[in-house]
Amino acid sequence: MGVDNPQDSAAHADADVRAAEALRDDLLAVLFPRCGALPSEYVQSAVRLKIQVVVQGIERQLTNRDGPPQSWDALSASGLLREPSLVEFALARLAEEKLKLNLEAGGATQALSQLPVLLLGHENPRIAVMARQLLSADRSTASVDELYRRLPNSDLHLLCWRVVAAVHDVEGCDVDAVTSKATELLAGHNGDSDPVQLARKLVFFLGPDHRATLIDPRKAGLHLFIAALAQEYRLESDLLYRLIAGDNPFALLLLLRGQGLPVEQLPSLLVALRGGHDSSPDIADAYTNIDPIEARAAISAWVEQSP
Amino acid sequence: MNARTSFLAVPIKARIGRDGRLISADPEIWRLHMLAGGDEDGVVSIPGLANLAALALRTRMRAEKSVRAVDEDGDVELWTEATPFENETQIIINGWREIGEPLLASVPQDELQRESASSDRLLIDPDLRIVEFPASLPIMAAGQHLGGIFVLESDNQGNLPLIDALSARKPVEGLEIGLVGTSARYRLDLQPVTGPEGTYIGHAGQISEVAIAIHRDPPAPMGRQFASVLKQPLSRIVANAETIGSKLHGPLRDNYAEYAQDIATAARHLTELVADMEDLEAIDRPDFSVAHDRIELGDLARRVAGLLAVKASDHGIRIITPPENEKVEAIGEFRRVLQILLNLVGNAIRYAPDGSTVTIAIRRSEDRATITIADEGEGIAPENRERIFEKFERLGRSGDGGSGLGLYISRKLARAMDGELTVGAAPGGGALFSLELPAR
Repeated sequence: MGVDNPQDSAAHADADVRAAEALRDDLLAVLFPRCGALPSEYVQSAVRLKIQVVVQGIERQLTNRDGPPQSWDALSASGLLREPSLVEFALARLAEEKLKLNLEAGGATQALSQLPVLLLGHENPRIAVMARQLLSADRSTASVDELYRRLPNSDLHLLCWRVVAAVHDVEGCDVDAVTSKATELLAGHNGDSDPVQLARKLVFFLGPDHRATLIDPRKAGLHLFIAALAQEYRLESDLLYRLIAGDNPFALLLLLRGQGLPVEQLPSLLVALRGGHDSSPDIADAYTNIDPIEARAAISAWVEQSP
Repeated sequence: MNARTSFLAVPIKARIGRDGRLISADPEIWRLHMLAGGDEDGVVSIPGLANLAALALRTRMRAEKSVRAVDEDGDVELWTEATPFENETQIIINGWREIGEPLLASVPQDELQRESASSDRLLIDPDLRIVEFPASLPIMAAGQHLGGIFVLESDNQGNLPLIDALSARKPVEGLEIGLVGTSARYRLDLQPVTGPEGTYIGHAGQISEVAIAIHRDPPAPMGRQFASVLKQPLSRIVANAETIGSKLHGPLRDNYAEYAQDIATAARHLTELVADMEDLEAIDRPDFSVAHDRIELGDLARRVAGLLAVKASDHGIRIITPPENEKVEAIGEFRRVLQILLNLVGNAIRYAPDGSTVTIAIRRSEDRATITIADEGEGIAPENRERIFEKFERLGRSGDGGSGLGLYISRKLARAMDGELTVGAAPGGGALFSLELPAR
């Protein structure tokens, strides 16, 4: 097989392309081991960017220095992008942003529009305080620099010490000062900056009150809606953000059917959450054909399969 | 039942060591820990709590989340904060949520009922809630927890065969079981069911009533055994408390003597409750029967008045009985009629105002003999006149030592003797109970 032959060259190129595609798929399977379908290149880039922003936020806290994170190259080379929990965190934040945008575009003026505001005047002052914290956290963590504050404790702990190690390795700076800052950062972290966590807490203490409102994200706000479903089905909130924002609306249909949402309310809710992509009458038919009992059984299976 | 959530006014606290053992804990946590199979110096047996404590200690960060634990009446969720210290984690529980009905708008009841009506099968989900239940059975079970529907009976080894099989996801074959609030027996045949991906989604199968004719051995007289075991120590408690209260062994501060009398009173109430439970089991058994003695209602009325004379005089209540020469003969079991009358007159003394009168009268009309007890209390409102004969119905009363079983048992006894027990209004507005029996 000579390289001068155009047909041979084309065959070589074809083989190389196939090999490259196979290699890419293998790598993605490592990077996204729990994804049923491989994410698009846009999602891959966005996840990478989210994790980079998180690293930047932590490094800025530890070194008081602006600019791109110095630790990034070392961290990404050491396999940070293969940490499933970090990837899932980033995917959940992307899904959350998408749902918020849809809600705002769909007429809900803000994702946190009504219930949390109403709860500011709740007769129980502790509920009112939680509502205030939720509103405040949702505003403050909209800043990219604050994104790291929303990491689950175990991930923040892991990432913080990796950044410390990388900063020390890259710059040979005063490791004691950075270590001291890291200890301070972790000790001061209490979860009050994460609207997801605050919403779970608020839903827990609200109990059965506001049931009808909680199942409508336009009235409850995105975080309380997700938190209520998460508590009801015993699922992680981040998994629900991803499921509901995913390409296929079936997960959302199951979640709503399991709660007995009347089919008449389905179209407007789908438009609000998913931007009108699923407004076909077939969706309503599919919804009514789902057995509520089987919906709950299917969701219980997710619970068993979730980590 | 709703899922009830409460902020705890006083947080529940515990300390968990680096080795995962409970260093100290408030009683509620100890209770949940022991319920989950823990022991007094063992590793925390509530998984969510152990994980949260370990996470806080490992990351040196405060953490909070809801933790699920098993309680006696079902699962509970606890809003839990974990704060790490050098070698231990401090746990603070601020909120307590009983998990019953789903938090959000649940599947509408009519959907569940439609599901139930469309099928004869029984379906139990992995959380031991009833999903489908045959509509032909005398109980609405869909959506309820298993323990609220079935009488969970233990076998000879003290195991609960139904729970054991469900939790081990094994078949349940031919298990006989009772339904709460009924005396009938049912046979369960259930198989574990898996979803499309092979995940367990519950148990499904048939439930069928066991015909009396082919009934197995009569149910073990648990109530009787239970009663005999309890009565003796209760009698001892009463006797000792009376002895202390009467200062027979020497002087005692007055308030201590009063406490002793309170103990004796409480133990007496408990003894009565045990007796009621024993009767309850007896009359609910299919083979329960009564003797057909010749009895004279005037004589019974005077005996009851004599037995309750001291109690009545404590309240300044006068019991009027039929004159000696007035006699109405009836057919019934002597001791059971006496039991009914003691209950009725005892109630009259308990609820009528001090210094009032309780009147017992007898009469005959054709083939029926009737004895009535009238008091001068507030009476029973017409809408409550059937309710008061229901099991554990107290009409909102509490703390008076009654169990809510007396009238239920009395009516059952009356009917077992081909009689009837009813309530109406006495001429003065009080309650008028009428026990009607076959006349002789």
